[in-house]
Amino acid sequence: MRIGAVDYITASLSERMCAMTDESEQRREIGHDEYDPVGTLALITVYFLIIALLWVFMYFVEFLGNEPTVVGTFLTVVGLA
Amino acid sequence: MTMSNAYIDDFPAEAKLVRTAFYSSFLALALGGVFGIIQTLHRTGYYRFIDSADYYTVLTAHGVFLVISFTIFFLVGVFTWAITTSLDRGVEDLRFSWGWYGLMATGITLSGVAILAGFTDATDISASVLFTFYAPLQAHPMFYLGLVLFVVGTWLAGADWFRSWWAWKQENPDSRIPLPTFMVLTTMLMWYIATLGVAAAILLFLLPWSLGLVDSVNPLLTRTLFWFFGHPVVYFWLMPAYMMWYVLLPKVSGGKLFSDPLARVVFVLFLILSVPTGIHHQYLDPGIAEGFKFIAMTNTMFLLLPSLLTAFTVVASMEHGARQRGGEGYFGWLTALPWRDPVFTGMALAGLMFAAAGFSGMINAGMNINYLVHNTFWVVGHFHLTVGTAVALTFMAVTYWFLPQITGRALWSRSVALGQVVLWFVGMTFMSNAMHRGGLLGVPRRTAEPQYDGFEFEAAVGSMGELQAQIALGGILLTLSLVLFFANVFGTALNGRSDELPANEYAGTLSGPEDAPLVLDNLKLWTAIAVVLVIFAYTFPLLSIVDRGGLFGPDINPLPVSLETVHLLAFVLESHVTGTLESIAWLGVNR
Ligand code: HEM
Ligand SMILES: [Cu+2]
Repeated sequence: MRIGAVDYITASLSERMCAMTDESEQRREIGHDEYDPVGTLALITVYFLIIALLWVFMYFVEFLGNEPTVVGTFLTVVGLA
Repeated sequence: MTMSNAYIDDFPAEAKLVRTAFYSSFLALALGGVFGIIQTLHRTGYYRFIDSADYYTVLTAHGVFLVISFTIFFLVGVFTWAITTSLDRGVEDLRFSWGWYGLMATGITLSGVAILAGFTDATDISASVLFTFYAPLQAHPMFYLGLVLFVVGTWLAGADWFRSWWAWKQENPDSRIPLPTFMVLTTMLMWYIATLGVAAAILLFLLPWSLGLVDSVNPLLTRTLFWFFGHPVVYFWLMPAYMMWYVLLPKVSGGKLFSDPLARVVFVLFLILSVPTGIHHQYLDPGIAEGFKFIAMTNTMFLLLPSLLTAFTVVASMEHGARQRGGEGYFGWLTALPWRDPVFTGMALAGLMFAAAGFSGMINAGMNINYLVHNTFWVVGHFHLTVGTAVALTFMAVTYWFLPQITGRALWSRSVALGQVVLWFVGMTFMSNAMHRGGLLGVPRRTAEPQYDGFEFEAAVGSMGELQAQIALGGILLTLSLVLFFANVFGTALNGRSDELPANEYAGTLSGPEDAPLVLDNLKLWTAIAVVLVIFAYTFPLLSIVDRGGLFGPDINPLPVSLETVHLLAFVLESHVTGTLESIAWLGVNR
């Protein structure tokens, strides 16, 4: 037998409680307007810093550690233009 | 009536289909894992029990079983779940659904047998052509035929999901497409466009050639058609993982998806941009003009956009959960996340690895920097972070959520599951970081014995021995992690039926579909744009490849090479090198 969304809503509270183990540790409800993802901003800033540093490091690995790489005609043209 | 509202209670017949698809996928994962550790120990020199001449057979099995059967069987299971759950209706015709599953299973069995037959001399069947099957490597026709059946199976699966959506739309003419269904449909549209390339490569060229109907092929043409498919197939693996990050991860974090409209934008961007980028795998192929490569690079850089949008939306959704669970501060909220939950931790670690892969991917994508790493071990390190972790670890982590849903049995052990996902992360950190570093030293990929007389790889930091040890150690930890994974799959299957399972639900949204512009749901428009971009990106390269090398190529001999071909090759190489030197000189003069 299939149980759709409607049956779920009409299921008894205890049935739903056991279904919602994930939310059991929820302390508060934060809606769209109260939510300000500053932590996300902080993490992503850190990520960008790491990427930027690695990028600089790449310069040393690629251009100082090896012979120059041959780049073809097309880019040369772009470079001149 | 049972007490729980698990998937199997609502959709028992579909649960069986999803279960079968998952078990097929796990069988492939197990086989792939075995070959993975064999080749790791072989090429690092720690334990060699196969003949190096069989290395390509092992590597082909590893590649094909993992990136074709493991990933795709898993995702057809996930997509079936997503469609039935979010439309709240069973599949339209169960026989049809079993039909596409049967076709996929038959197909991959044929290809798999062709590959494994390469280990024995009892038959002359073999398919040691690696998962890229570049000509002039040639496989037994059974290999190509199997791949065709498998892909046709996925096409029919897509048709099945579209059919469900159309039927639903009749009954709900004014509703927005539910997000999980939207994700399935956009992914499948992308897949239809992408697989045209590989279908053409196999049906028009490789299969007739392998059957002896035509004498030769144009290797650059089949290779280009392969990468027409080979890049977007990456998104075919990733988009289901993204779907899990968007619809399941916020829920297990205790929060809601930050934005439904952003999620739709991301999937539309993948539909549009996945295909016209394939040439970025061919930066080093002679015979494709730099201009075409430059266009592919530009499209590739645009692809960063949906990935960064995903990073933002997914992290913001996790943070929402953490704050609802009482998390505070700029970084302190991270500690409020449910790190003891293997489903959460597995997906979060997979996402973290993907962020690291973002950097090595940018290196690969740059036309000139690519020269530094092309065909080295770096590339192998890169994709063990993407498909080998971002995708594979996400799939394993969500398995712990899905197993109770589709079997009706409680998970055998949450702590073993937690140990498993962490072990994968640790193992991959060792293996992949050492592969990246090895690549920078010039260590080649796809090589059974990467050590040469009179030549030493020199490491600026650490040593070759240290890198080999890290790779072998990483490989062993990964293998152990797989053992734990299978223990849980078996243990769960042997458990009794449980009445107290979590309900089959996915994450709610903070900003819902009502905030998404209607045009986002216009699938015809996005498909048309995708097709136009593909035509722009590929018409001229393909025409010029055919123009130079002919539709069926100049005469080439399939491997094994004879002595004459070696002479010929030497001659071609020599003239090529002189040609390059001349053009460098020319460049110098014209600077
Ligand atoms: C037990 C875990 C694993 C180990 C020890 C392992 C090890 C390796 C090694 C050492 C190679 C490079 C061989 C060479 O280039 O000579 C390789 C290649 C590869 N691996 Fe894995 N791997 C594992 C898991 C995975 C997973 C989960 C995936 C994808 C879902 C994957 C996909 C691939 C692919 C596509 C290749 C390239 C094959 C080719 O070059 O044709 N691996 N693996
Ligand atoms: Cu690619």
